[in-house]
Amino acid sequence: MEKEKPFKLFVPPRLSGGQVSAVKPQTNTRATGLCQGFNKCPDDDFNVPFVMSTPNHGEITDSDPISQQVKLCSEVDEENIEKMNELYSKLYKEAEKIKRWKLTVESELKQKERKLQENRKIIEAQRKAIQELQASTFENEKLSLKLEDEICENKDLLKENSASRHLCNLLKETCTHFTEKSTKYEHEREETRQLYVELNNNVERMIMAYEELRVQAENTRLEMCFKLKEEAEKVDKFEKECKLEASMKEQQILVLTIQSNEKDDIIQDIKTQLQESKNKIADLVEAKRHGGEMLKESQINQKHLKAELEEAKASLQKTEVTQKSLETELQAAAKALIQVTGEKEAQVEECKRTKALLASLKEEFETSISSLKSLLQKEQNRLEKYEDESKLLTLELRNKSAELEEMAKLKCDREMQLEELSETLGKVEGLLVKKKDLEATVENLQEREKEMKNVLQINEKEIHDLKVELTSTAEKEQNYLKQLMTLNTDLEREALKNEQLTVCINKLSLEKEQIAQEKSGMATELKKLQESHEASCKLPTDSRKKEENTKQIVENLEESNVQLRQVKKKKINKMAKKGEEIKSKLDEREENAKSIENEISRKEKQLKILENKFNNLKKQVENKTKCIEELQQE
Amino acid sequence: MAESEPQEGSYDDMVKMVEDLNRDLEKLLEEMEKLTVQATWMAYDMVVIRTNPDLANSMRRLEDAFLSCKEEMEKKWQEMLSE
Repeated sequence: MEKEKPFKLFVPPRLSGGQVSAVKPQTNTRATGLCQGFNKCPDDDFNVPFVMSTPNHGEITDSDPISQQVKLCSEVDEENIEKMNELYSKLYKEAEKIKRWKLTVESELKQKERKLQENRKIIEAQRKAIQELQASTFENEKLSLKLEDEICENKDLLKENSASRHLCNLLKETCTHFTEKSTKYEHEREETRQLYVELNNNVERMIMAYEELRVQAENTRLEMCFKLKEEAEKVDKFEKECKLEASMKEQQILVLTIQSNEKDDIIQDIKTQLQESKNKIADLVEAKRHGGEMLKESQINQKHLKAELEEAKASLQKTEVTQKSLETELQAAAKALIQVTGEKEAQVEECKRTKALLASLKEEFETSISSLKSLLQKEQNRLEKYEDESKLLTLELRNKSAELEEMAKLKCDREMQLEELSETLGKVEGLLVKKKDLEATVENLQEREKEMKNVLQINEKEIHDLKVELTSTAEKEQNYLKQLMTLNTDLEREALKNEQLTVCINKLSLEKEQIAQEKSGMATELKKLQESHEASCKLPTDSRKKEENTKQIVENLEESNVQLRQVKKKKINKMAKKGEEIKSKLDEREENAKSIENEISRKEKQLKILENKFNNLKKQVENKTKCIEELQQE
Repeated sequence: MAESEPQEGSYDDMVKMVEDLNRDLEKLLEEMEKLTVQATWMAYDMVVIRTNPDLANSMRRLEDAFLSCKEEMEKKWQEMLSE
């Protein structure tokens, strides 16, 4: 009670603050929190409930603590002083704490008031802003409406623009069309201008031409008038001249008639002369007949000669045929020769092959010989070894015999040894037998070697013979080729001669033709002479000259006939000689062909022999190879 | 000259479009003037060509010359025949 009373005494003046009291219950919790935070001593906890309880229980709990404190007054007075001090200190601390708390609260309140004021200001400002915004929104709405109106107006304007653009495009198109048409019209205008100009020029030219024509026409007319006048004058002159000429010609006619009469007299004289010449002509005709008969005889002779020529031609043809046949035969012979040469070449090739085979065989034989020699050496070595062994065995035998003589006591052993020695002796005998066999084989091999060498020599000889034969055949072939060439040259010569003969024949024919032409010419001349004699009766000298000419012509013809006959004879002789020569040559060729055939047969025989030899050699080689193989096996 | 009309287009596009339109219209006006000038020139030329009196004169000359030639030719042959 006393404790609390002073508490009550001290506390209530502080509780007078209405503001504080209004807030105290809240702050009491905070102070309690603070005090709990600040107070660390457990004593304060006791104080706290007292502080807590004081304002709350200040009026209610007076009765209960007072009774308790009355009991404890005497005991607690001493403690109360100390506790009072402590409480005073605690109170100061708490008062200070409360003051701090108050200050903080006041500051917080002030801050909050400021914040409130600020918020109010902000609110007012926001309200104003809102109002302004609303106003602005109204204005914006108005502006948007205006904008929409303007947009509509713009759309309309754009449409108008598009329409105007369309119109512009159309205008452009129309302008382009117009320009095109204007250019066309300009071209046409220019063309029309040119045409007008040309027309004007043409018209002017035409005018000029017509004027010129008119002028020319006048000039020509005047010229024609002058010419006509002149020609009229000329005509008059010609008429006069013609009349004069007519008179002159009449006079000439009179003169000519007188001359004609005189000529008639002359003609009568000539007629008498003609009769005389006719008589002479008859004589000449007879002479002509004789000449004709001679001509006929000459013609007959010519026919005979022609026949002879034809015969010669036939003979020539025959000879040509024979030549052709010979040529064909020669070609066949040449082909045969070529074949033979080919066969010979084949044979040569075969010989070469055989040579190669023989060379290979030689090599094989040589290898075999070398092998055999090596075998011989080996066998000789073996023989030597065996001889050495035999010598050693003999020595051993001698030693053993000595031992036997020395070792008379060990008969069983010696007999055994003897038995052994006998066995060894048997072996030695076997070895000796082998030696003999080997010696026999060696002798056989040596004999075979000799035989082989002989065979090789024979083969070599045969090869030499074959080479010689091949060379001879080659030479013969060359000779035959030369003969063929000579024959070909002869053929060519004979062909040339035949050509020459044909040329001569042609010449003869030409000469005959010439003679015939001359004869025909002479016949025509004779006809002409007859006609001339029959027609004219003037001069007998011409007939005589003609008779002489005919006689000379006949003589010439006879001479030509004789010459032709001689030429024909010569040519026939030449032809005969040539035919004989050709025949001789043909015979020679036939003989050559026969000889060639014989030689070919001989060569074939030789080739067959050679083939047989080759076959034999092959067989021998095979046998030898078999022997060698057997030896190798042994 | 774009034909699209976006409402969101800026004012500059519209200005450009209008300016382009004006330019094109001016060009077209110039071309039209040129064409009209050419047309009038053409008409003048056509009139001049049509009303050219030289052709008629030249044709008359031709006729005169032809007739004179004919007369002369006829005269000549007549004279020839007479002679």
